[in-house]
This record gives sequence, C-alpha cells and structure tokens, in this order.
Amino acid sequence: MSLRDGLLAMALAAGCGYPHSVTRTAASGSPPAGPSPFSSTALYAGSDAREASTDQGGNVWIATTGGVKVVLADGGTLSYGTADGLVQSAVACATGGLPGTALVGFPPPADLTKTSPQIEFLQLSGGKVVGSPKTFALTGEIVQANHAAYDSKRNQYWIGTNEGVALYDAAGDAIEHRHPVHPHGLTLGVAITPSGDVWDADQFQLSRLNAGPAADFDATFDPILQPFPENEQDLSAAAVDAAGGVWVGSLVRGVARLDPQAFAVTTYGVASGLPSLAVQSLALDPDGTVWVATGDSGLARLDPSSGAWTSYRASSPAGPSGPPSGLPSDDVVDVTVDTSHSPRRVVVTTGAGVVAYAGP
Amino acid sequence: MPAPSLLPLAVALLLSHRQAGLACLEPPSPSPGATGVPTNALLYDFNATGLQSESGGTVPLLQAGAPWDDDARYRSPSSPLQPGTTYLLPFAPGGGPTTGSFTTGAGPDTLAPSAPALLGAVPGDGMNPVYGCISDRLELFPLEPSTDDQTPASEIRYELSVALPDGGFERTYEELVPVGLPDGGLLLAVPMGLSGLSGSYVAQARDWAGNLSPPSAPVRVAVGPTCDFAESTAGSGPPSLLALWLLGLGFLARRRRSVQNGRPKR
Repeated sequence: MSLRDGLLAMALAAGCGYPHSVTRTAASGSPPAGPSPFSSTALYAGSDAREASTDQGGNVWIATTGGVKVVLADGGTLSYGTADGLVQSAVACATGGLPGTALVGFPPPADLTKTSPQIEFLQLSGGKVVGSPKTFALTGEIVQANHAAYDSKRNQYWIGTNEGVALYDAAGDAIEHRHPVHPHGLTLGVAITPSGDVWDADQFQLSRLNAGPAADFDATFDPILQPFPENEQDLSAAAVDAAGGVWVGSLVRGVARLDPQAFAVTTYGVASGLPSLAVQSLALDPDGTVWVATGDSGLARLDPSSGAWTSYRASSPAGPSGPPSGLPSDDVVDVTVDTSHSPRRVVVTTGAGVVAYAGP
Repeated sequence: MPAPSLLPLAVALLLSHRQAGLACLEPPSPSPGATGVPTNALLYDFNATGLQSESGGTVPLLQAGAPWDDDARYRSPSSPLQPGTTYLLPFAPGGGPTTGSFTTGAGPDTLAPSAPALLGAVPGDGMNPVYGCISDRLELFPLEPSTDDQTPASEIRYELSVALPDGGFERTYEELVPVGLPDGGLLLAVPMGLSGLSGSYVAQARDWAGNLSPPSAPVRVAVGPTCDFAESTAGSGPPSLLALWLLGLGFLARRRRSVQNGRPKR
C-alpha cells in the first residue's frame, strides 16, 4: 500500500468526507432600485486601466498601461509615470495600504535577461507621488507581480507572482517567493485570512500558506485543492468571507466557494445564473454580497443567502427588468470593495474606464 | 511506434530539435488560416464575442453547449455559419491578441471521429520541457490517432479523462495536441502530469465541429508523478501530510462527480 493509499484509507476510516460538491442552480435576482447605478460615478475614463484599489485614506490608485493614476479622496487627481520615476509604463496591479500609500506591480519586462524591479511602493508626499522600486533579486525567478492583497493587521502585502506568492513588509523588505507543490503556475488570486494565512489561487490549484499571525514565510502549504473538476483551474481571484469560506474565480470556469472546514465546494456557472464563466476578478461586500467581474458579460453580484445573481451590463438592462446599469463596458477587468468610504463603494475597472457604485 | 521503454529516448531526440519556450497554452481551434471548416464549428480559445464575415456581417458567439459548457474558451456561433465564407476573428495564441481567419466548407459536420487508441502510459523524467512548463513530471501516452471525415488529422484535438467505476468519465485534460516523434509515432504529452493520481485513463478525439469520438480502451496508470512540496529561497517546509491527504480526497471528489454516457458532467 502506498503512502497516499494509506492516508486515504485512514481518512475514509475516520469518516472524513470530502467533498460534497454542489452546483448551484439559478435563482432570480432583482437589481437595486434607482437609475443607472454606475453612470454618474466615473473615476477614470481611460481604456487602459488594469486594476484599481483604495487606500485607507480613500484615495483610489489605478494601475494602467500608461502609468499610475490617483483619484484623491478630495476629488483631485494625480498621475505618476516614467517621467516621474515609475519603473515602467505598464502597470499590472495596484493595492492600497495605509492612508496615502499603495503598492504597484509590473508585468514581465520585455527583456527577460535583464532584472527589473517587479514592484514599486508609492506614497503621497508634498502633493505628488513618490516611488520606491523594489526587486526580488535573490533568485531571478520572479519576473512579474500580478496582484497583491494588503494585510492591514500587519501592514504587509502578499503578492501573486509567476512563482507563487511573495511578501513586501512594512520595513520595506521585498521577500522572495513561496509556492505550493507542482503543478502550479501564475498566481493571480491572493487572499489573507484574519489569522494571517494566505490563500494562493493559481493556474492549477488553490492552496493555503499557513503563515499565521507572525507571517511565517517558511510555513507549509496546505490544503491543495482543485475547486473545479478539470486539471487546469485558471484561477483569477480569491477572497475570504466572514465564515472563512474561500471564494475563487476562474478565467474560464466561473466561480466556486470552498468551505475549508467542511471540505465542501459549491460551484457557480452559467446554469447557476452567473452571466459568464470568464471571471477576471471578484470581491466581497461586508454584507456578504459577492461581486464578480466578467471579461465579456459585465458585472454580476450574488446574494449568497438566496443564490440569486444580478447582472449589470453596459448596454442592456441591469437585470430582467431593471434599468440600464451605466457600466462603461462589458469587459470588466477588476472589482474591489472600498470600505474606507462611507457608504462603502464598489470600484469597478472596465475596458472603458473606472466607475464606483455606492448603492445597496 | 517505439516500444514504451524507448519513448524517453525518442522524446529526448524530439526535444533536441524543438525550440525552447513553448507556451503552456493550447492553440486555438480551428487554426488561423484553416479551410473547409464545418458551418457548425466549435471555436476554442478565441475569447471573442463575434465573428466578422468577409462581407462585413457579424455572427455573435455564445458559450458553447454541453459537453463544452464548463470552459469559457469554447464558443459557438449563435447561428450557422455560411458555406464557403471567410470569417475574421481575434485570437490569443500566447503572444497577445491578434486577428486570424478561417474559411468554411460546404456545410455542417455531424459525424464523430474514429476512436483513438492509447498504447500505454509512460512517466516522464523530471520537469516537462515539451510544453515549456514547469511541472514535476511529464506523463506520456503513446497514441494511435483518430481519423475524421472533415477535420484534418493535425486539427483533431484529444481529451484525456479518468474512467470512473460506474462507466462515466471525468475529464482531466482537454484540447491536447499530439506530439510527433522522429519515427512518425505520436504521443499525448500531458502538460502538468496527473497530479500523482493513479487510475484508468481514456482518450477521446473531437473534430472541428465538436463531435466527440468513442473513447479509447482505458489505460491503467499505476504510479503517477511524485510531488515535491513547497519551495522557496527561504527554505522548504517539510512535506505536508495533510496536503497529500487532501489531494487524494480531492480525487475522490472527482470520482463522485459521476458521469454517464461517456461525457463529463457537473
């Protein structure tokens, strides 16, 4: 008997059941009342935005293919580009931190034989943006930063890279990478639990680095799961809800929620009411609402208690009988929830600009 | 076809003639420039919402129906394509979005390809260089390919599935393209291995229209690739028994997602 067979036998003997996998069926949803929820809240009108994030001071940091744009909490705007010291023009991701600060990450450099900073820490100072580039230079394996999650308890950023997750800490240290068992791949989704563990959502699996409250970089990875049946998961996003459940999006397979305690997976596809399987990002509202950015069918929201999806499209009604959404484009590349703002805002990055929604 | 024991050598020879840096991405289907494509074509990996005909008309694309409805990369035209017509479409072959075209043939295709045959299973050695991917082990399946009435052999794609005890299949890989050996033989090279999971695997072929062949006879994979555990420049943690255990339990979950009639189902 192999080790794995032995472990499986032990698990089964103990009555451990994985996973009841459930595929939700469609439930009808009603869009929030009110006209055009996204139409009057434009933050940025360019077509080159890739990701937006708000710092704790309410400033919105926007990563674009032409530098960084900042929409200040007072309504003013700033730009930060290569002429100002930005490492490179194309910025892949932006993540807000303490008031007036953010971390941005870059796609791979054109010349992979040359080391280039993969991240840059930005601060508002003297009415402008001041940058501090950082390089993961220890192995040369890290060439890009895809997305980062901010741990407000520890003032740290966990960064999804081409090789698992890396860490940028409050002391300004850029710490090299950790990744789970092969096969893995690009990490696009990163989520941090209240206890400090880090979920890594990559091309082939969802895994947890048990970093804990001390942000133990050398901790082990587990569990290692594939929420969707096929080997290629193409996970694009991860978020942890109040119950500890992990929501993941896939670039090609929709949405799933893992309950790590019960080892139960619930998947959401087109048959469940999700408008598209092409999920580029997702975010959680404090009330539990799940916001999903699709690459071709606009924005969707899920009421987890009822299982009802509501869809917001650029040019069609915001639901079966709702008003037009005012969304700039059905190509939604990112969604995030800004809790520094009252009421909270849902910040939506599309292929035709960045907008915010503060309704229910 | 070389004997399984010679396959690693054959692959090494093959690889010595291949350029490095191949992407871990399945190429689009039909291939840009293809001709004679059925008017009921199944499109893969185009990430497009519409096809533009040479006359300027647009055919909207929809999420493809079962059994392709679990992957956003599969798209179907909302209405049958016109015979003998060239369609423009965006595609992303790995180097960024660009535009290609294909030309339809005389009509639809409703006949499935013949069943392929898997001639064995050979664990590869070390990382997977065939696809330019980082993987712990490569798994190789010598293949007797399928044939189809309308789709050229080079355009036929293969699925690899676990054969379940109840007769159903659980798809683990899709859109595999056979790798040619120097002697003319073919292999299915699984890009990321089998995650260390033993089982009986079958292959099916699909044609341009998405007609799925009967399955091959199952091939038993007794020992899959070994797993190395978390790595970092700061030091590796010890192998996590819990991780290994959950990986196996995940496999059980897949088995419980039983399917019938030979096609995967959620």
